[in-house]
This record gives sequence, C-alpha cells and structure tokens, in this order.
Amino acid sequence: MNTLLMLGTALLVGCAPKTAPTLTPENQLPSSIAITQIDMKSGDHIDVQNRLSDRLTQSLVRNGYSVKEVSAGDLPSDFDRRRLPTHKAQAIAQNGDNLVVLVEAVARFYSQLRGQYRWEVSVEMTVLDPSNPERTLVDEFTVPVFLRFQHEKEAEAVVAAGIEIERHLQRLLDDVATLSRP
Amino acid sequence: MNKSLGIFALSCAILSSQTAEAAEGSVGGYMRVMTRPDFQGGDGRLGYWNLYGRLLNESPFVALESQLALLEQEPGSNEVWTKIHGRVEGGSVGNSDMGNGNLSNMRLTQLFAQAGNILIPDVTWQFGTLQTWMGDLGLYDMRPTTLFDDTVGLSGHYQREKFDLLIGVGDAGYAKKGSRYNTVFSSGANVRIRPFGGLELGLGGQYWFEPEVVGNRNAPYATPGLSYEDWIRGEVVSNWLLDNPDQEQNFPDPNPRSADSYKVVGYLGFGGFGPVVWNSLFVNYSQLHPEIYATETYNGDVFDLYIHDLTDERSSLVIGDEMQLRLIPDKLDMVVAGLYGTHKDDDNSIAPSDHNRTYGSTVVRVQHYVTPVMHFLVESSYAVEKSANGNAYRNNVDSVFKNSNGVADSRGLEFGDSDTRTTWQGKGGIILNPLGPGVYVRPSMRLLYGVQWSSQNAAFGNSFVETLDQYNDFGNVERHLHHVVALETEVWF
Repeated sequence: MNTLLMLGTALLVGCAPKTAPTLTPENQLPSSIAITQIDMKSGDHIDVQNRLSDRLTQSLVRNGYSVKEVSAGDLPSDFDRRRLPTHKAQAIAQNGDNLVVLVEAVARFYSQLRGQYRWEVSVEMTVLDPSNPERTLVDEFTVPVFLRFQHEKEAEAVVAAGIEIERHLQRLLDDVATLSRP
Repeated sequence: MNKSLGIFALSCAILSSQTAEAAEGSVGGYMRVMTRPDFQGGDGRLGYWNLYGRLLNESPFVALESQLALLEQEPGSNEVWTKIHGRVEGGSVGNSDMGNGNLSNMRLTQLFAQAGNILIPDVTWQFGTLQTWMGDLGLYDMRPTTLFDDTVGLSGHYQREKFDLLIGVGDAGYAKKGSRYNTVFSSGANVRIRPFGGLELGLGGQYWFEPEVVGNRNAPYATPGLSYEDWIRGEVVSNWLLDNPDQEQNFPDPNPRSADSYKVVGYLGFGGFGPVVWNSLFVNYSQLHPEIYATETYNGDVFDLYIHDLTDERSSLVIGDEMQLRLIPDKLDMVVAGLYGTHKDDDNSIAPSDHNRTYGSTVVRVQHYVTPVMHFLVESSYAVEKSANGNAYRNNVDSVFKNSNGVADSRGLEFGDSDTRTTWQGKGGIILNPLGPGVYVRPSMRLLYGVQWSSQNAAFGNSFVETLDQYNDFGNVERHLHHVVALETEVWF
C-alpha cells in the first residue's frame, strides 16, 4: 500500500506542469507598477492588500525588472479624469523611462451560491513602454472568485483573483519582451 | 418541465451572448460529480446523510446561475443599476446516479431581479425569489440561518460598512403547499452588525401566516375527533365506522383553521487572531408550519383527513459551529465543526419520527499541502442520533423480526430494536487543487477512501431486504462496517 501511495505521489508530482520559461530582459530594466482597486461606493482608487501587490511585484522581479511601487495616494492628481488606459499609464510615467504597469480592479458581488459568495473581479491591465507608447498593451478580463464568509468584501475578492491577474501580467510582459527584441 | 428548462437555458445562452453595449451577461454555478463503486451493495454513499460530514455522503449536484446586467453598477455612481439572475439546479448527473441526469430532476429554483440607487441610497431591491443566509457550515453543507427559502416577493437590503439590514415580504404558498396552493403570507428580516474587524453578529427571523378561508379546500382545516394513534396506524376511518356503522356519508366535515409558524436565526462570527481564520456559530429555532391533509382508503372510498391540529406543535432547534484554523500557513489547515439538533412534536408521544429526535455530531478535517496543487486530506466524524419516542433503528440482521424489547410486535409503532444510532466515519485521500491551498478552494479533484462504522446494520443507502418475504428469498448479513472508494470533483465556477 505504501509503495503504491509513493508511486502515485511520484507520478502526480512528476506530471505537474513546469513553470513556463519567461523572456527575461538581460538588464535590470526599471519599472513602475500601480495596483489599485476601485471602490464601488466611492469610485476612488485605493491600494490593494499586500498579498496581491507582493505577488505582482515579484512577478516583475522574476522577469528581470527593478520595481518601483506607486501607491494609490501617489497617483497624479488628474488620474481620475483620464479615461483611456494609455493616458492613465502616461500619467504615471510622467515623462520617465520606466516601464509602467497599471492594474485597476473592480469587484462586484454576484450572488450567494451553494454556500459561498460569488464575486466577479473586472480587471484592466495596462503595460506602457514610454519609449514605445504606440505599442501600449491593454488587457481587460473578468475573474469569478468565491469567498467563504460574508464579512469578506471587495478587497478580499480582488486578492482572490491574484493567480489569474498574475498570469495575465506574465503574458503582457512576454509580449513586451518579444516586441522589444530587434 | 423539460421544455421550460430548455427555454430557460436557451434564454440564458442568448442573453449571455449579448454585446457589452446591450448588456453584460455571465454564468456561474456549482457542480459535484463522482463515482463510488460500492462492493458491499450500497448506492455509493458512505452513510445516510450529512450529519457525518458532507464528504462521501452527498450525491451528484449541479447548479447553473445566469446573471444579466441590464444596467451595470458603476463604481462611485448614483445612477440606477439593475440585473437579473436565474438558477437551475438539481441532484442528478448522467451516469452518476439513478436519475441519470434526467432534466426532470432539475428545478428553476431562483429567479429574481435586483436594482439599486432607487428611492433610497445603498439599498438593493430584489423582486422574485428571496433566498438568503448568513453563512455556511461547510463540512456539513448546511446553512441554518437560511431565510426566505420558500418566498417569492420583495426584499430591500440596506448595506453600510458596519451593518446590513434586510427586510423581505412575500408569499410562500407554492413552496409550502404545492398544487394545494393557498396564500401563506411570509415576512421577515435579518440584521448583521460588524462592530469592529474580527467580529460579526447577526439576528433574523421569518414569520408565516395562512389565513382561515372558509370554502377553500386548500386552506387549513381540522377534521374533528382525530386521534394521533388512529392517524398513524391508518385506522381513522375504520374505527369511526366501527362506532358509526354504515355512516360513510356522515364522516365529520373539517373545521376551518388559520395557521402560523416562525423561524428565528442567530449568527456569531469571529476570527483573525492566532491560527483562527474564522469561527461561525449558527443557531435557529423553528416552529414548523402545519401540514394540510392526509388520505385514507376504506372499502375503495378515499377519505381526506385534515390534520392541522395533529401537526401544529412541531418545533426544532439546530445549533452549528465551524472553526477554520491555519495551523501552518500554506502547509496545514484544519476545520472543526459540530452540530446539535433537537426536534419535538408535542402532538406525537407514541411513534418515532424525524420530528421527535435529538442528534449531535462533530467533524474534523485536516488538509496538508504537499505542494500548492497536491494535498492530503484526512477527516473523521462521530455522531449520535437518539429517537425520543422509542426504537427507530435496526441494529441486527434479524431486526426485521424484532420491535420493542427485542421481540416481534405487529401492533407496535416502534421500528427496529434500538432508539439510538451511533456512527463513526473516517476518510482520507489525495486532493488536486489547481488554484492552490485552501480547504474550500475549488476546483477540487479527489481520490478518497472512506470507512464507516455504525451501530445500525447496513446504515447506508442500499437495496437490502426490508420485509419478511424478501428475507426468505434473499437472506441478509450483518454489516456494520462500510467501505467506499471515490473519484470525484467539486467546483464552484
């Protein structure tokens, strides 16, 4: 029985998918990342919980970027008036050379469903290379997430979407690396 | 039925494919499907019900919910928003259970429209079905604080950071009485308070009132002179005719009644300290709504017996608690739960029934995250169920011959040779969770083994002999241990 269990375990671990190789820039390119949640009631941009910001920051580091985090309080004063993703990212770039990653998430309650609370997190992710602004990459997607408790609200829902947000970020970073190659 | 489901599904598909400019649609849901080959003659479930933990004791289930946002709720906006929800669900999946996925097992259980920023800020109005609850006992798959599960009507949900208030009103007649519909006015409310992070309190209740309507055959009535024992034995008519020979035409007419019932629920949640992620304590007390009628056939004639007065003193108290613990972050989690219930029927002091019993149970689940995706799970449960009105369980293979005091009693109202059922279950196996660690993270794909010991013989869904003539043909054996191996998956999506 033990042998079977070990064999099964080894097979399962062995068959586990390997992390896809990333297209890592050779140099430590500077980047700025702003990860915000838009509060449903006020409409204000607020900071997300550290678990999500750490996850995305580490993703950038793994791709060879040095990272400067831009908190919601540090966003430019005219940020809320800008509508287009490129314009928002340009506001963060502020004529600098850093690669800009802007993540804006909105969590909406869906329903109580078979013992869990279903939310939908709509994400708009923008990656701007100031040296190549016409190639700004924008990804919009919605992630369904389930929360266990009723006291968990928008902030927890956004964090729960972390895996999917990170994967979308990786795809955009891969595209940036591909586009930046001669 | 199937036609209406098909139309609903088609409507959902069409609505969900609308362009963003027209409306935003999305589909969510829940599913669990499994195979549990049972070489001991069972139907694939380890035990009878969720009192021993939901794991390995539940059958397949699927729910599909569609949402269509006709006017999307925008952040920071005071503009009106509205959306509609519909949910079809049921307990059958093709090749997985006796229903074989037949759509007749499915129901359109939820259909409602919600709207906000109308008349009162921060209030969500809901028209249609109104089901709501304050949390879930995940290990039992029970929601003791459920309100409005049977009501169609209108609710208003006022939400602030520190508290929520939900008030609802409507009609529960079709849920409670089906084709014998009579209006059952339903109203209720719940309030949830969060005085500070890590603590939440909830209190709520629902009240039903069914008015007296003289002349309406579906309204509450009581046939005079009914004896509980005669009713249980099916001898009301025969005994009445013994006293009143040849008086079938003069069998007593029922007297009109009004009926009411209520449910009170409470919730205490706390957590966020030490290893305690969250603890949820739920309680409900219910005074059940009286039943309508029963029938007896005598000499080929069918007699309706109106049983309001024999079913209007049923009550139940259910208390459940579940604590989720993070013992070693990202390595080891544990969930501990307990459930206590006592059901009383003051009209019935002679026959065992689900309305006269007490039960208690505890379930412990430990999940070890070998890798973020692969986990080991171990669960154990212990439960005691006790009948308040005598024997209700067959402990031995020859219990079919027994009743009170271990001897046959063809006139006895008891069943079997014990008033107590004791059950232990142990479960364990490998879990694959693509989305990472977490006892309640789904999808979850499981290879599980479960074992049950019960004081009752063959205490699981089966097709074993139940009568003396079956016993003569097929015989039977003593089975207190039950083993099940399961391949299953469960997903919220």
